[in-house]
Amino acid sequence: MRYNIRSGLWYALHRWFGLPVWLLLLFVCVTGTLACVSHEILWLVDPETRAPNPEQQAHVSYGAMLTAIEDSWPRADPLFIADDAPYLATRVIAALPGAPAATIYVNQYSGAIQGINRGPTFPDFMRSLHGWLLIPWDEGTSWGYYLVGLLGLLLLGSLVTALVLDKNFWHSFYRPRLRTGSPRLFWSDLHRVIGVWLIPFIAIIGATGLWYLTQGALWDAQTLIQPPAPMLERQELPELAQGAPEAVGIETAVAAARGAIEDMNIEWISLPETAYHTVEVYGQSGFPLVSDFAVAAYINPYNGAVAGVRDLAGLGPLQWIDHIADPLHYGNFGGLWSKAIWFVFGSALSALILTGMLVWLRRTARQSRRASQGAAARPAAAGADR
Amino acid sequence: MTWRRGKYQLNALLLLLPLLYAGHFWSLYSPAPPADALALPVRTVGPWQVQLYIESWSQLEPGGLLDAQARFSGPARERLRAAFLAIDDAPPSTDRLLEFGYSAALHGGRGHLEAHVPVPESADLRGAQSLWLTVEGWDGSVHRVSWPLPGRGGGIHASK
Repeated sequence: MRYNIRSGLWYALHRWFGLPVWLLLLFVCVTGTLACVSHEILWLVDPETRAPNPEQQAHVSYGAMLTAIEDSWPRADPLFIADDAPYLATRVIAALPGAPAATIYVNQYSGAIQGINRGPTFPDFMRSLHGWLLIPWDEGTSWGYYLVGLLGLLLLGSLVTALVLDKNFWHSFYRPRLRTGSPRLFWSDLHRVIGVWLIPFIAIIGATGLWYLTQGALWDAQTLIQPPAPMLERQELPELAQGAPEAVGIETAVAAARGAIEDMNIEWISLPETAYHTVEVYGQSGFPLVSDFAVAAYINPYNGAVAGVRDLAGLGPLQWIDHIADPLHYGNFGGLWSKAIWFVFGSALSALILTGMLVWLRRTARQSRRASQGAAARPAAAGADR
Repeated sequence: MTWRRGKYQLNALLLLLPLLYAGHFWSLYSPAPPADALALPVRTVGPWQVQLYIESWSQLEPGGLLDAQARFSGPARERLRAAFLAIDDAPPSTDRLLEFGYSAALHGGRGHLEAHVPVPESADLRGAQSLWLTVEGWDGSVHRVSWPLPGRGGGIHASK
């Protein structure tokens, strides 16, 4: 590579983007890589989270699941139901005495309760560690969310400066070069080859990271990106002289949601947390490259009527970005195969950061050696140095 | 030389952040109000008794969110339709409650009701205003109770 003042400046910029917080960047990349396959890791180690279906049965009703939970824990209040993937047991998140957010694993084909986790699950933990370093959300957006989002800027900055520095980068696609003459050359070549293969991935992760930064700021400014779920009016609530009203079963609510949105693939259900809440049924329909919350039907729990619908047709530009960011960032849009690719690329990105540090260490090592050799040649200066 | 080689390793200190906040993360999954939560005196509202806990009271600022937890008891627990919290000078009208947003409604499981109450920018957190709890029964009845916001700093707030 030819060095001149211009490339020296770009090199310095590239260094400034990558090196000062390289360990944090590496930590966020490694935790993110693990987070994107966290359900699968849990599947491997914890049989309770698997959904074996040897007899090829159909999905049991959500009502049957909730009844089974009530039989086991009469004082459980189910809050959310998450259907993540066909091979993963359905998660019912419920408030239990002593556990305000327990995760109950129910096999969606047999209806059997397989296990309960009263604390955070491995995916909960990995996502919180990766997304905001566990820093609380007590007052608006967690500042950890901003910190991690800012790393998206560093990724994009590193990418752009690297492309400017090495304008012939595409050679590495068809003629990758790994010189083994010296460690510095080797790490430098490896850094370049990995980097070139990761150009689209870094652009995606950096850009979506930057979106999360924007999203955090919008939340802090109390700007709603997605329209809030409709709430029932006071006059829509039943009034009863005795007892409490019977809610329609969750099956009625789910059927109403399916009736309101064609081909709805239900991924998440929020059960009413107050008397004014609807049953919120979220999922996707047709277009897969959107988040699990892209379409929604809101069902009145007292009469089963549709209180509101949100579909893809009604989305504005910011709402589209918001919905597309998640699958692009998590790599979960195609199921297992896309998650596997994201895992490999995420691991490679971690290696890229590590090799970047190694190149710098070797370079400074060389410069230090030269400097000390130079100093040895000038004993007076060397004496002043010590 | 040490600084030259070591300066880029300093950011390892940032990795202490998750360790620092790990306890808080786990507390989100624990039922008890945090140890530093402020327990307000038990009050009767309609046929119910209620105990409120305010979290992180000493750090609360106007414009922020007051996080509260509530425990209701009483013979007619299932008759309770909804409950709202609000910070105000006077009893908030039932219509105004909705202006505070539904996060100010007590929500969650029966044993672990919580609310996030917007604190008005103009709020006086030195004790002039009150925390109002409005409770609705399934029969349409509305009951109210309030607590003077506890003073801060010296521990005693000026009486008017």
